[in-house]
Amino acid sequence: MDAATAVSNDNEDTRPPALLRGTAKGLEIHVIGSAGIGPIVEAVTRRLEEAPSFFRGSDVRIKVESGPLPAGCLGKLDELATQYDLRIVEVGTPLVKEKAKPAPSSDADAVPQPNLAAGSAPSPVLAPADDEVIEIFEEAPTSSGANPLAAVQALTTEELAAFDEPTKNAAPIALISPLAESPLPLVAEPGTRLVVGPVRSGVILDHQGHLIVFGDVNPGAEVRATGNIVVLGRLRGTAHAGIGQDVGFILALRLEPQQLRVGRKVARAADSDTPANEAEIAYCTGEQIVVERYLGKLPRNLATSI
Amino acid sequence: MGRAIVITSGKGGVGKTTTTANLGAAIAQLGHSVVLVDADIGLRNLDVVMGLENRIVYHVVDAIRGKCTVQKALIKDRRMDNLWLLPASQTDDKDAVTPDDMRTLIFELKATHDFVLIDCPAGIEQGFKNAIAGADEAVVVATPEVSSIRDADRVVGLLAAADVPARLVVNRISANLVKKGDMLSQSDVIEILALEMLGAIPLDDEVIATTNKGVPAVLEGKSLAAKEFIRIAKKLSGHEVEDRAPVGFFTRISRALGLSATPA
Repeated sequence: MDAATAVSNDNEDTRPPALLRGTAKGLEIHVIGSAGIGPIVEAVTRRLEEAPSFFRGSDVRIKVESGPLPAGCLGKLDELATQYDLRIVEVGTPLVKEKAKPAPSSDADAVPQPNLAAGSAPSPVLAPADDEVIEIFEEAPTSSGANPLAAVQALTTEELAAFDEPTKNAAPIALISPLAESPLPLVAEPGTRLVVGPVRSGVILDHQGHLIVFGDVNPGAEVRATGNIVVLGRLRGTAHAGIGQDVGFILALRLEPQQLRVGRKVARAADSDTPANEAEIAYCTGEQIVVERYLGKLPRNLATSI
Repeated sequence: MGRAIVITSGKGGVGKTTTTANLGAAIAQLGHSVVLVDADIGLRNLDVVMGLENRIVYHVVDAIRGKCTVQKALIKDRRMDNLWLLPASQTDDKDAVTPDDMRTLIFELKATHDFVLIDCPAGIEQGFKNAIAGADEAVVVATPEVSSIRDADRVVGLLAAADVPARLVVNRISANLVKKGDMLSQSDVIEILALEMLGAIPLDDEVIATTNKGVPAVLEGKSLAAKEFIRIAKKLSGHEVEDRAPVGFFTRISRALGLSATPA
């Protein structure tokens, strides 16, 4: 299954009504048509206000997803464009057609609500919860060269919900917020994305599809992808592959991460771990994240997932 | 037109101000006219390190607000004719100045001096944005500590986003500790930051002693740190030689003069 399609289906209902994305051709505004005129205009205004001068003078392409643009919406967007000195040059649908989805009624599927005891507030961070299972394993079951690196934590559902929303969280917002200081090319289109590193501390790369980084991912940086992640350099920051799915792998010439996440599983480096001097691959076996030497061949179940 | 170089680090206490003072003095010794700008508004101390504290009449905020001309706010160093200081205000805060103000100010200073060295405050907030606004290039100071390197990495990313090319100075390297394996080495630092390195300043008691006296270490000229500062200053100003051929001849002469004057 195509990674981008899979994740967008999972998250369709949780996406904000409008997203701004910087692309090579200029600014793209992705609008969820079914969200209604009010939320769309409000979302666009809010994003533009965060960095009023950032886009000044640029061309804008409006991409309408999930239904037609509400009546009068284009006029409002045009007003906003004039106000922020933007030119709307195109209105259309995104390049990759997303499967039509029935009315947004399935919120419960996308963001599963945990059965929490009364009074315990859902925490968006990775704080240890009472019901959390922490497993530390010495050896991965399936592989001989497995690294005793990973401590896998089964997460509570609300934490998972936070992980599984690539578009809602960092990605497009990171492109335009004042924190968007990434010097890297910011093309947010589905497919495989090639990035020239180093990816420095504070930079979040978020991509729908596979991500390949030429260079290091430094501590404090985060690379996120709905597909797989390959780092042709040192991975010393955090990597999250397979967002919104449960398969995916992270391959690095030197795997020395702060934290690895594949789908809904999280692993962190053991405190005593000494880095291996060779390429390693981390993938999810369904139960846990396994790290092993990369010997030029993907495990079979992963090879079929690409 | 001169060059504006911001000295920055992200983390505090790694030696930005000391580096600014020493590089400024060393470049001035090489014969260039240099102005040091203290962009740490509200927490000024470049003037103290330079020993010019008691000569401040006007400061950078006065110059920006038009209370005086920029030239009038400059304090001439008491040891050299071609070294100047534009002190920060102690009573305002970082919001007293905008990046546009700084850009205008630095542009004006570049017209009259060969080098404008900007001492950046710690952090990546308004003060940082002001300090890098007018800069053509940056010197990132990092000590061989993981916290300093992490912050420097972040700052390099911010500088790259602002189109300011950065080079690295590693400060307070202790050869003994590196040898014992208790300290990150220069190459460890470079490996993470992936920047061109200008030099590595050894940990040197002399720097602390001279800084407290209000005399940059390079003007005493004896310590290892001073020699490294001078080497970096040559590299910084020598880089100019290749870039700007017409001045190259004179720059080279002044470098030679500086060379002969330094090994005291």
